[in-house]
Amino acid sequence: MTKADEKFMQVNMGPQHPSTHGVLRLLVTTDGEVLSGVKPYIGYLHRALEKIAERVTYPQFTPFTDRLDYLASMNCNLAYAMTVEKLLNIEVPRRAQILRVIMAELNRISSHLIAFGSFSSDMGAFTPFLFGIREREFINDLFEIACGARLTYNYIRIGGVSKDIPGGFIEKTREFLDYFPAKIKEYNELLSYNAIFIKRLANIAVISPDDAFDYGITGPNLRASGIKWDLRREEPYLIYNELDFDVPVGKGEMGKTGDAWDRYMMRIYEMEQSAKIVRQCLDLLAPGDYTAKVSKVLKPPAGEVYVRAENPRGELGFYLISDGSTKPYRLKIRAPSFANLSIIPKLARGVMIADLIAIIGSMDIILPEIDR
Amino acid sequence: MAGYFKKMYHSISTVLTGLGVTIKYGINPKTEVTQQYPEVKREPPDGFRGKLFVDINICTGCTACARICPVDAITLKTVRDENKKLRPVLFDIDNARCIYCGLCVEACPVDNCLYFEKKYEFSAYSKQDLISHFGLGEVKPAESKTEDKKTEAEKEGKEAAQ
Ligand code: SF4
Ligand code: SF4
Repeated sequence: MTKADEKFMQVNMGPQHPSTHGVLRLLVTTDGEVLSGVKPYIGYLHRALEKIAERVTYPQFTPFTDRLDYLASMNCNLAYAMTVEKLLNIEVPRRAQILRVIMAELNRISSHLIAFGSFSSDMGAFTPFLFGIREREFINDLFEIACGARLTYNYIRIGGVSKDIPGGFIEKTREFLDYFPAKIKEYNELLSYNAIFIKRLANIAVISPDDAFDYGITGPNLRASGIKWDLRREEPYLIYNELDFDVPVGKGEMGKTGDAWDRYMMRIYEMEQSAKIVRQCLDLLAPGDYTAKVSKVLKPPAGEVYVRAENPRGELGFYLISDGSTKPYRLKIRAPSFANLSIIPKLARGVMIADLIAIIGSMDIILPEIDR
Repeated sequence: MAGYFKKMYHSISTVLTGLGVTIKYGINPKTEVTQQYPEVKREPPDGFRGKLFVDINICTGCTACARICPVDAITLKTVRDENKKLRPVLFDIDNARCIYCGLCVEACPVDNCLYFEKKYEFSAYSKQDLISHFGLGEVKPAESKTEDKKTEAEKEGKEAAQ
């Protein structure tokens, strides 16, 4: 240790810190209150999911994708199902496609509600967290009547969905959609435009568009930097090209474009858009098959595919190599949170310790997806 | 100076707006959403994926469920009984291992044989207690130990000759 190093102190933040959103350990080098470096250590939730994929058959892996980003299981199921379908050349019936969009967007809302809630509780406001959980409960109930589970759904399967929605689901969803806009307004009154909250977040941890590209940031965090990139628009899958929705981008309303407040606000805007999408899908829903005819034993031809989908946290990709057997030869998962985490050391240089919490919270990372 | 007061006004007014939302919920008992869990129990909807149950008397012992299970939560052993039907003597479901994915229920070819109950409270003090045993235990085994068709046919032939 040199003389210059002596004035620095190394502290561990996490892995059991409540605001690290899981079990993330950050080795923080501080000079008093100012951070001079942050090093994330990951792997506490490693379950070798990619290796497990090589040991189970294609349909058997679907429940494991629930456990990637457990706040958005539907979206993970969806991306995996689309990957295998591309390999097998399965045409998904229209009703199944619409159901998938409904579930994916509802899950996006519920995931953003947690992002909103946990971020606000990181910032010291506890009430919004309870509000977020309250609305999420509605969506959980919807999923529960559709598939029987409240967190790990295993609903979107290769070829379609596991079962058709029961009676009453559409009415209940409409009820939720009618009730939800008023709640978003409440969130805004309570938190988004609160002067203290804005002061705390505006101009903090600005991600420039160039940096966002360099680090492979995706999802709301990328759009907050002013880049209009949404896979649902750029590479439409399912029926997204028929739907009318906006892609909100950060405009630097309260400070610089791409600051923590912009990233927070992206999620509020996206919830509004998702609600709009679900409403359109409910109108489009027509009777039909909920799943394509898929044989019990799946043996895709040898080959490789990469499929990506827009998850609430960014671009989730599955790179799948098949050797013609019933089990994948290799499955590589591209987790959006992993890329989003990688920029934290850069953002955290030279900021106050308290702002580190704001940075992690605004990136909305989720650890099971990073560690896999 | 005017800017200073404007900022102050802005801060106080936004905080008060927020507070207004909280107070609205605080004083209106109709907005209560919490269920007092141990006292008030929630009834899960149809199709809820709770504890697994097997109607062992109609189970054909086909092992489809055990083969599809991604985490090997089902242990199954079958023997042939006196009518040469496959019977599950051992059918253990490890509830600590099961991830309640529902693949086994979908794979079961017999209607209402393997299904999820609406039970969600089954915590136990040890992992061993979390294993549900459904197996029949002992069954009267088939008379001929070998399942060779030829020997059976021979035997039948002998009986006919006598
Ligand atoms: S629900 Fe899933 S994990 Fe549980 S026993 Fe059935 S297949 Fe196995
Ligand atoms: S799949 Fe059904 S019938 Fe076959 S062994 Fe399992 S429970 Fe029995």
